[in-house]
Amino acid sequence: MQLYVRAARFLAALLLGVLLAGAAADATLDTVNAPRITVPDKSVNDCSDKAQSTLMSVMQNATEAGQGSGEWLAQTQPSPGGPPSAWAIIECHAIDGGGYTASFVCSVQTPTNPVSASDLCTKLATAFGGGQ
Amino acid sequence: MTALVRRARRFAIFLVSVLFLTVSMAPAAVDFATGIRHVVASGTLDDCNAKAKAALEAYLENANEPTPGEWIATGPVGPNMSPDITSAGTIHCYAHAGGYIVSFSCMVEAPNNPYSARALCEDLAANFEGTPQTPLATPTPPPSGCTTATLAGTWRSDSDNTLTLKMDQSGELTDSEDVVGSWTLSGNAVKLTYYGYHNMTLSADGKHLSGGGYSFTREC
Repeated sequence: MQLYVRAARFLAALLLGVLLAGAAADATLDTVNAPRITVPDKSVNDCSDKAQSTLMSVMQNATEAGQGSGEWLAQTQPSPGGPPSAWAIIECHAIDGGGYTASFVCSVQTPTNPVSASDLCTKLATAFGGGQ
Repeated sequence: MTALVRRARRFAIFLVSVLFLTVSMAPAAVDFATGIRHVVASGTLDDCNAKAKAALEAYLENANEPTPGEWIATGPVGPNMSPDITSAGTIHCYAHAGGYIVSFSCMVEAPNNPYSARALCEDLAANFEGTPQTPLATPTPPPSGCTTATLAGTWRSDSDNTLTLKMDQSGELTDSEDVVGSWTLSGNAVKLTYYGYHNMTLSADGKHLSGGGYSFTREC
């Protein structure tokens, strides 16, 4: 009987290993655009500040694509030292007549990353809070 | 030893084969490109949207506009490309001072795509503007036939005519009973993971594989 239990435990551990390893091997890109947030009474610099702090709070390594460009990029590593598996961009643009619009693009590798691109963008948009 | 334990051991060997196969595949990295943006002094958002859709459809598929002015499409497309979604491009159109601003972002999984995110985005932007585009790199077709460069192909056991191994370019193999394993080739030395490890040798004509208790002939 003890032999059966040992065999069953061994098989369970192997199956878990197989599932985990398989998850890392096959990755598909899930990419979404989230609805824009428009703020009528603030500057693009406000948007950039907000974009950076939003990305820093939800993800890691937030950087601006070019200084003053208003395009902010960040990524997420699911495990320390591991490869990134989620990326997001927040773009800030001035709108005619004052104010700004912020747009969100999220891309994640599934199933490596446990959060979908849609959920990630929703989280970012919520954290951004419409600039209010 | 009971039949059940024997069966469990056989199953364990099968699982170990799968495990070694899957861990040998590194997770794909993603190359990200953003920062290309153009200011168009005169033009409407409708113009921008039409050009954005056309540019995405030229290089990717399923171009759609989930949010007004924000276009997205996925790929890759083309011969020998992965059937999974391993690349994406977005084009955003913003009204600006009587014209519009358009921005481009691209995500590309490597090594599943032979081109970079930057190359994809530059072509999207060039297509949008109607300027010359550099053709994106295409994957090299896998070698076929009796080659010594790869084991990809169908192999039949010399001792059991019903046993075949289908080996693919990624190093995976599946036998005629759907048992999976893996292979590596270095020179003419083959390591086969299939009900355990087997050190084998590939013949100079690429047609015969022998050693480790097995002998196979490639159908080529």
